[in-house]
Amino acid sequence: MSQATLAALESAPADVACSHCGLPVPAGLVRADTATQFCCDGCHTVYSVIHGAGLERYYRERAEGRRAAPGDKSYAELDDPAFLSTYCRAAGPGLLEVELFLEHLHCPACVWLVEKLGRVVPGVVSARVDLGRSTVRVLWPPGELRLSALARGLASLGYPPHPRQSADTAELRRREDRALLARMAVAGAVFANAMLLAIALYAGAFQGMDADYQLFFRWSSLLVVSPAVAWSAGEFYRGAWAALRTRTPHMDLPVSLGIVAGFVWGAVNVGRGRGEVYFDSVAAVIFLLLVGRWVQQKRQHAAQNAADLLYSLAPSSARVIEDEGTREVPIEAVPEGARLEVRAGESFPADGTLVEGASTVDASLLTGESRPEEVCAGSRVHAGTLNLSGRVVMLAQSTGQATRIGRLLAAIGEAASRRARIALAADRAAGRFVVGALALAALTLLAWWRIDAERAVENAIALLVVTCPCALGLATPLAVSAAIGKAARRGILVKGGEALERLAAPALVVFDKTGTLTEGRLELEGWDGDADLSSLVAAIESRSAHPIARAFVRALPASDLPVEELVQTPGGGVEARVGRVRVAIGSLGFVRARAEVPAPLEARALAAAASGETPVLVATDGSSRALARFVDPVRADARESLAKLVQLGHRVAILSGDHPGVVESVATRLGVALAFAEGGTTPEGKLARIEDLVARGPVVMVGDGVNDAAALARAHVGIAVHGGAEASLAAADVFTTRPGVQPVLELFEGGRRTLGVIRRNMLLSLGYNLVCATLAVAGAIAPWIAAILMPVSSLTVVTSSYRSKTFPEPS
Amino acid sequence: MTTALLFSVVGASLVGSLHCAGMCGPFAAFYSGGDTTPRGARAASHAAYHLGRLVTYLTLGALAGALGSVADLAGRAAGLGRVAAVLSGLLMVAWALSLLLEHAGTAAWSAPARVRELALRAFGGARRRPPLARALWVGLASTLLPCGWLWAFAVAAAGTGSALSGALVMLAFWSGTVPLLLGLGVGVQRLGERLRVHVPVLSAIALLAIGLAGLFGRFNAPALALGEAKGALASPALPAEPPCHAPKAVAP
Repeated sequence: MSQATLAALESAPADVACSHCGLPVPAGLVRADTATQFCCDGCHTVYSVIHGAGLERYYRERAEGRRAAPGDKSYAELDDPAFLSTYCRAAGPGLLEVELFLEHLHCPACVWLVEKLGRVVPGVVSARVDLGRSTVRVLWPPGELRLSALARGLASLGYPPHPRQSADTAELRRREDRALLARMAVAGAVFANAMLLAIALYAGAFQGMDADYQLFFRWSSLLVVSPAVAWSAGEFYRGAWAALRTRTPHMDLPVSLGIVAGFVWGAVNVGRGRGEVYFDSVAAVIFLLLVGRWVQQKRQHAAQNAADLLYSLAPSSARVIEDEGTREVPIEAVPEGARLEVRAGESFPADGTLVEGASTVDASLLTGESRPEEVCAGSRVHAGTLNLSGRVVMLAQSTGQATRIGRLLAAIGEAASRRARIALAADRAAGRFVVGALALAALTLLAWWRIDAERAVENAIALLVVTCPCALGLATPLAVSAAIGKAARRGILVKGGEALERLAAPALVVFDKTGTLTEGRLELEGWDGDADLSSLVAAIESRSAHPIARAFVRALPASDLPVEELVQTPGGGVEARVGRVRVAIGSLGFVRARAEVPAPLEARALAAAASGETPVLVATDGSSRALARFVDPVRADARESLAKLVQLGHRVAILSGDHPGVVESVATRLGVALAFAEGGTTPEGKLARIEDLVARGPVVMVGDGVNDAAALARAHVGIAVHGGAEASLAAADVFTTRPGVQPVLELFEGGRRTLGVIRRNMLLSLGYNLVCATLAVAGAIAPWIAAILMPVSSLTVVTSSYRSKTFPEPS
Repeated sequence: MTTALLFSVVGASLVGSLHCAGMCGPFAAFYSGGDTTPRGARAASHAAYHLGRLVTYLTLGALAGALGSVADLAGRAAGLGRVAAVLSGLLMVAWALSLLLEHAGTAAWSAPARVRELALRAFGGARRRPPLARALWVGLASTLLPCGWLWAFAVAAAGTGSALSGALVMLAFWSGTVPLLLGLGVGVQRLGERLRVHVPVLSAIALLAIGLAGLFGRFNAPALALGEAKGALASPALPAEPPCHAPKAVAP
């Protein structure tokens, strides 16, 4: 070589990339005199063709597009200081915390994998997964580790992350669904064809078949199954690889092994021209497991939608008033003490005090009180409550998780993720089973190798296929899904499987009073005084929408007396003129200001209030003539249902935010010991009480208001009854669409029966596994028999679950 | 014809297709006519391109195989066996070694510029055609690219010594290139990033392996013996006659 070339070679950069295909240019072909380098003549030619066609922009676009390609995603945008300051919060010295939405989180074992992120990305302090919302909260030192590197680590495990706030979660879930459906479609087609070919081969084995045809069928099976093994089963390989990298047991590991072993050994046998092929079993395993994963993913998405609903209650942005005008900022970026503008019809974005304007606020989110509250400068307002009538300006004191609603939501989220942890124990058992099956397969292989190498592999594969953890893993979920389906037909909607299992054991059942044990609305309980005032009252109250007015209208016969000069005073009462009579109806204070109230009537009104009733006085022409007492009546079936609950072995308690006197009277009416009845509790008080009780034993909470939401989530099982607020629905494990306590009772009975079914299923699947594993190790089962037995075992479990009468129609 | 050879051709083709995707992938942009075409039309273009490639590869394979059979015939006349296989094996080994040397930086060979000009002219003709025809044209013209990889397999096809087997080898090669060119396989793209650096060396080694196998291998798998099995059933097996015992034409 000439001196010039040598010198050029020495000065040429170590690895030059081909300007066309990107592969490294062999050192010998690097030319020092041109800017463009090519790895081969072919690339040079294609480059010239492209340029000749005027398509140079292909190269530009490719350079830009490369960053956005899903395989090459670099997550550089996460390192932007604006993103870090807006969406990440300080969580300790030198540590930041961020919440990311993850794709492909589908089972509790994935939770383990992701929480071991530290093994794959050194520097990560902790990663906590909320399976219900598919998010992970990561704690990391930004000085030592870039967020983009962390994100790439997550993506490499198979869980691409997105910033939670900007993730279009609905779209991501749709994409997940479509991807899985595509794989299932291919696996299904392959399965059907593989079975057809397998039938032909088996028939040939029994009746005799020309060698040609046998060869043809064997090769065709190999070709047909390849797409499923190469692509559809990719889900399992990815999970298995991630499990190996983080050294956690995951069901995908033996599945992948079984699939690959079956396929490779079958392929080798096809090549050798003798020996069994197992492509039908392989195809069956892939398809059936993908179907199982599909079911799991649908349930996961349904749970996530419910959780999203809850989080939509807390606003995500606020309008900050600055010198130049107003600016919308994400909620995390609102500084303390900022002035926020809240228009009519919007939710308050933060906890704080009003400084300007006056309006009415619907605080039902927090207090369960649907009556609007008046606020003006100086009043305290809470995030999440609705500003009803006018534009106000508030001073922000706490935002996001520091607000009252934020803390409630956090408590709910905490409880939810804790429940997922209990499910992990069940899967850990499955994990050990899996490791056991693998070990046994290895032992079988070794033991048989000396005796007969050919049969050794067959027996090992038979063992892997026959002890596929599907049956064991399906036992509980199937029983639970079947029971959930039957319960749904009875109007009881169960969200999580663990709820049904917990309901079987004796527990302390804590009832909220209003709306659960009682009708939830005021009814006229008693009328002291002039009875013929009723037509006047009915006429006047029919013009009002107030709850008390509606109760009056329900109780009294309709009257069409003419009503004039009707004036309603919020929080007080109503006055009007009927004919020549001036009538005032309202609270004690309201009527006292407009008419005379004789002492005995006043005494009776005060006594009624003391025992928790709502007294309403009726005064005509300046003198009070009657007292109407309103209560929230107890439900008709409540007493009987509570008695049956006690018979089932549970204990009953009442926890309510209502007046203690009312709670006591309701308790006595229902036969609940007064020691177990508590009134006057705030939402935080309820949560604290439930926390206390949870530490002492299993607790089931039944409620309907938002003020019950955190307690519902914290209890072992939360039941939201008909008519409940959105937050309760999202926080609870069960929702009943029929009012009353009767559905709650049915739920308990159903839970007990479901546990029975689960036990039966576990026995069936364990028994099957033991017997068949023994047979496989002994060499008595050929892989094709194993492939038939495996779905048979699943079928048995399926039948046992779906034919059991866990939630029967009442006869 | 041996299945082991086919298997190794498919395998090598898959490995090397990482480079195929890099080099011929851009043709997708060339023939597909832009982002505004509907998905169905684009799929049709892709299909046409790959079909075109298949046709040329099969033709190339058949021609090469025929050439090989001629070489075999000549060799048998001279008393040598398996001439085509040995020659092609030698060629492939030499080629693989030269690639490795290039990679190490001690040698460099280039195809003559005439080849490039020919290819440019062929592809230039495609530009003026409607998308579907253009895709087919580009596919058909693929063999005119000075692609050493492709020609290595053509040599392997020649080594089989029969037109049918040669075409089969090119079919196997084609099927190995399709997955990556179509961009199938989740994760393969990502895997591609890390493997790509090693592709030149890996593909050279694959060629070496095929070449050596052709030189020394005795693949005796009864697997794809369809034709032979049928032949054996049809007529009783006769011992192979050496050519010198064949009946000679009667001299006038």
